[in-house]
Amino acid sequence: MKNKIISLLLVAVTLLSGCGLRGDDGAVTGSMPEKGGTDGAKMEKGAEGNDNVYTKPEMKGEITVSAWYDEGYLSTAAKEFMVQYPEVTVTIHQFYDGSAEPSHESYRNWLNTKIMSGKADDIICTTSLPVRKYSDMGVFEDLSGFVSAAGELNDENFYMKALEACRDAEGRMYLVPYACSFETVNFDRRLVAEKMSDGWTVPMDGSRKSMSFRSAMSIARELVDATAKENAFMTMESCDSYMNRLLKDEIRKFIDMDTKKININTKEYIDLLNEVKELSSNRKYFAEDGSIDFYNDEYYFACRIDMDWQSAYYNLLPEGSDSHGVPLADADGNVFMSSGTCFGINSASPHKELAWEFIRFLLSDEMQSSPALYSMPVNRKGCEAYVRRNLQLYNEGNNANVDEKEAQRLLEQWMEQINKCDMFDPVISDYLWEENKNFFQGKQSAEDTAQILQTKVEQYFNE
Amino acid sequence: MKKTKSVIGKVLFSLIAVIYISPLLIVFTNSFMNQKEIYRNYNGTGDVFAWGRGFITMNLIPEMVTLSQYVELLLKTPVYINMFWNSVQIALPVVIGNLAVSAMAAYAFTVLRFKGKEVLFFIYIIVMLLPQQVTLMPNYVMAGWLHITDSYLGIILPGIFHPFGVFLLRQFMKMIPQAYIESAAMDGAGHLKVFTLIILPMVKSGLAACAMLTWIDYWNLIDQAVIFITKPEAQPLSLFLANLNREQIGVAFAGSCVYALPVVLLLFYGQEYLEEGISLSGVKG
Amino acid sequence: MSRRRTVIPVYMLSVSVLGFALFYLFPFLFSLFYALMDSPLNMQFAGLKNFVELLNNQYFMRGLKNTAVFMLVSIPLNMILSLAAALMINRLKRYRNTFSLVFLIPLVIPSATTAFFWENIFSRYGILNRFLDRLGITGFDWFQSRYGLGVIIVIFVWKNVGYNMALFISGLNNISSQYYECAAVEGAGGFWQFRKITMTYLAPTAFLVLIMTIVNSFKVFKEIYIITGQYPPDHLYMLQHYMNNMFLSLNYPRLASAIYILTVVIVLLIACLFRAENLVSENLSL
Repeated sequence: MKNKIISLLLVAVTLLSGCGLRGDDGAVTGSMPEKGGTDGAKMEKGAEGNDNVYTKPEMKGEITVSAWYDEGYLSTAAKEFMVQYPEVTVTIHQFYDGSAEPSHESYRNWLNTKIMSGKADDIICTTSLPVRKYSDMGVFEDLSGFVSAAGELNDENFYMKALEACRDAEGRMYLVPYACSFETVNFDRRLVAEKMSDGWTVPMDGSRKSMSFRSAMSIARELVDATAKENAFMTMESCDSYMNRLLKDEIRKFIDMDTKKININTKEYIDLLNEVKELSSNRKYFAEDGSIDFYNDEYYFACRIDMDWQSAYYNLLPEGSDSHGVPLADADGNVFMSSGTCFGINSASPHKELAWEFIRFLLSDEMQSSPALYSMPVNRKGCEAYVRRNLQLYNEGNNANVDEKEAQRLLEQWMEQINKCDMFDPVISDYLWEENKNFFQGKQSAEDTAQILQTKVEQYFNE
Repeated sequence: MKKTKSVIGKVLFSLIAVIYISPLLIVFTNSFMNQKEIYRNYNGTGDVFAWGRGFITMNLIPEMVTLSQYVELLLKTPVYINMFWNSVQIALPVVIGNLAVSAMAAYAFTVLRFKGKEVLFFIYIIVMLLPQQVTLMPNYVMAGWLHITDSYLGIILPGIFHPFGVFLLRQFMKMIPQAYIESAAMDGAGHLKVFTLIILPMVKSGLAACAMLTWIDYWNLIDQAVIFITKPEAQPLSLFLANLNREQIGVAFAGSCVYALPVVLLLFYGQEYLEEGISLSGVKG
Repeated sequence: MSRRRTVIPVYMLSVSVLGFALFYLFPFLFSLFYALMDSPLNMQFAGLKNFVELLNNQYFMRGLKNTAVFMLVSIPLNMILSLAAALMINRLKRYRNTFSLVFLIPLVIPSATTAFFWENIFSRYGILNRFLDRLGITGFDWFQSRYGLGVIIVIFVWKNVGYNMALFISGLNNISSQYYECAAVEGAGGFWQFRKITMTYLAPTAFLVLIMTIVNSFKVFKEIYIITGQYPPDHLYMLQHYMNNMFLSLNYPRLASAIYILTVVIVLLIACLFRAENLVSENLSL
């Protein structure tokens, strides 16, 4: 038996040395990101001096894109791109085709397998991905060099602050957005009008025209306090989502993604939980589940969270429900766009330049104006087209006549305020949501919730 | 005395049997319930005034028998039948291929004598123990080299060469006295003859066990399907069932029944072979 | 045997060895290569750094410990119960098929449904607590409680007894009745027969069952995962959770290192068993 073990070891050693050789082949693909990295750096240097260092690659070859789900924008663009450059093939790999929805985790498993084996697609669309983790792990190429070298990417053509919202502290840009959805806070027109008749004005956060969730809620509370109307409540949000939004206001206090420090098991967090629970059980401010008959009762929600375009429209619609809408900000006044509508280039891709050309094409006036794009474009012309398209639709639906110029101006004003990209880890979001929910359902105490979350998130970071 | 003992044994045995069969039975009968009843039964809220004092209820007999879940599944989700066929297309080649390759290898392990044979066999066993997470990625790389990503081959080929069958069949062939094989060889029968006419019939029960267990494994596969099969219409049934969410419990029940049917049938028929022992008398000594 | 006569078996073996090397051995060695790297994207040689980090990682050690406890309890339990079931079924005169089919039932139900079923039994408002409630005992969530591992062991045994039983039944039937007949002629008692014949000739099957139980004990993770998610309570955190989370974190080197640490443990264990089994089966050909 001793002999057998020795011979087994020998076999293993010989095989391993063989593998070492083979491993070198693997290392060639493995070292790609490094090579790409230096390319990027070189270009960046050049870009500072003059813009002509980046030369357009030969438009020939094959690029692939992976996406969770393609609404049609990607495939339309791919088709157009291939017409323009007949020698280029663009293949879109979408994971979810619109029928039976697979789990997001299986999507990540699928994508991770491809990334770790060095076979990921050239362009990765960020929907439902933990982009922060991916960026930290080096999945994406730094695109800052490409961006500064591309002449058309300037303030005249783009909402540059949104376009560069993903830039990190060191100036690297792993992601470039093709669309920038953001949330807004809106107040009920009738309640505001009622209170304004007393000479009151809606207070804003500082000089910026944006508002954090907490300040929005304190205004909502004032509105409810002031009215004598029946069925007037602060918000439609559930207590889970109310808590979540309060957390997002000052998430860095609890979870610092940079230093990986977690302060959830603190008095502050426990107080926050209790505050929300108390408030949500107050029937003056929070409607009881199922107590409102939405078809027959008259009801008022003082503050509503909505999405970009739709919110703008209902603020401008004369009989619309909303007024004084502004982008939702955090406690420091940062307005976040969703990270789900970005592209990154795979750092191991052998066709980075070609992939970048495709992304540039996706950002072009032509593509950004395409009806296949269903969220807020980052391109100014695209945005105009988007507003025009939707305005027609909404005006018809509401039998109204909201002015296009006005809509453009309001949205533009909002868009200019976007300055950050929400890269908060969706996995941690899920934990927070789940455990807080358990607390609100009475399954665990606030102290336990804070303790559990502290351990879970610590484990997530240190595993 | 002995009789009461055996009666107690039988009662105990039947009790265990009931515990074993109850999940499938419940899944089967509940698949005939309507959505409302299922929701009411499986919604444990802890509310003492609610149905069942807020506890989950498992009823064997539906209040009202309905085929609506099956209609939903088979008629409104036509992909279901398609996926059923996909599962067959994966599991069947794996089982057949694996049996063939494994039986040959096991035979070779039994008759060959060479240095390092046991070591090689040992490596088979160790590698078989590796969890899936670690082999999935290299297999994907491998499939890329062989240009079989996005096809069933990426799952089928590794399946065919899975060491389990070799291991299982060799353990069974070990039980055949060496003298039988040698005497057969002495008679001048070639290896192919000994293998097909003598050894294979003798390890019928091993072959049956191997086929049954491999089928179960590949009928239930999920992880490999996620990685290797990206076209939704090509996905196997197991993945479809795993993706059904909580609101579709009824459909999941019906789906599980249809899903389990071929496996139950296979087990039912495979069983008889399990019990076929080595019949030494069938061999001319 | 002459050289000419071994040609065919050599071919027979090489088919399997080739495929095995390609799809199993290669991935195994491939992952060792990764285990020595710092990240799958950077591919810088890191030496044994990953291994050192792992052994100092409390979560990995917790997973290792829980897995070890789980295996130490569930594997012997599973083997004893499945052998007992196989022996019992083999002695039945009628309904043999029906009974052995019964034990195989858990294998045909998809994991998601199995998990759903057990969750509804052991959850806070599940069937078990409903029953306890009738008796006036306030229940709790069994998976979250300290009995969680026990519950998982019950589920594991429930699911896998049939698998092993099938192997044992075919193993038992492969023992030639001639042995028993001879023993009976020589006047040996039932217990002697069991000890000398059954136990000896069942050794290859028992070894097979043991290995398969180990393989299946890794698979129990699927059900735990469906029930409790990525981060279960501490006492249910298995090695597989760690590996799975590493995969989701793109940390393949860590995952691969974890596998190698596990492999060393398994190799030592299996080597002992392998030797024992070989000693017993050498007696078989006498």
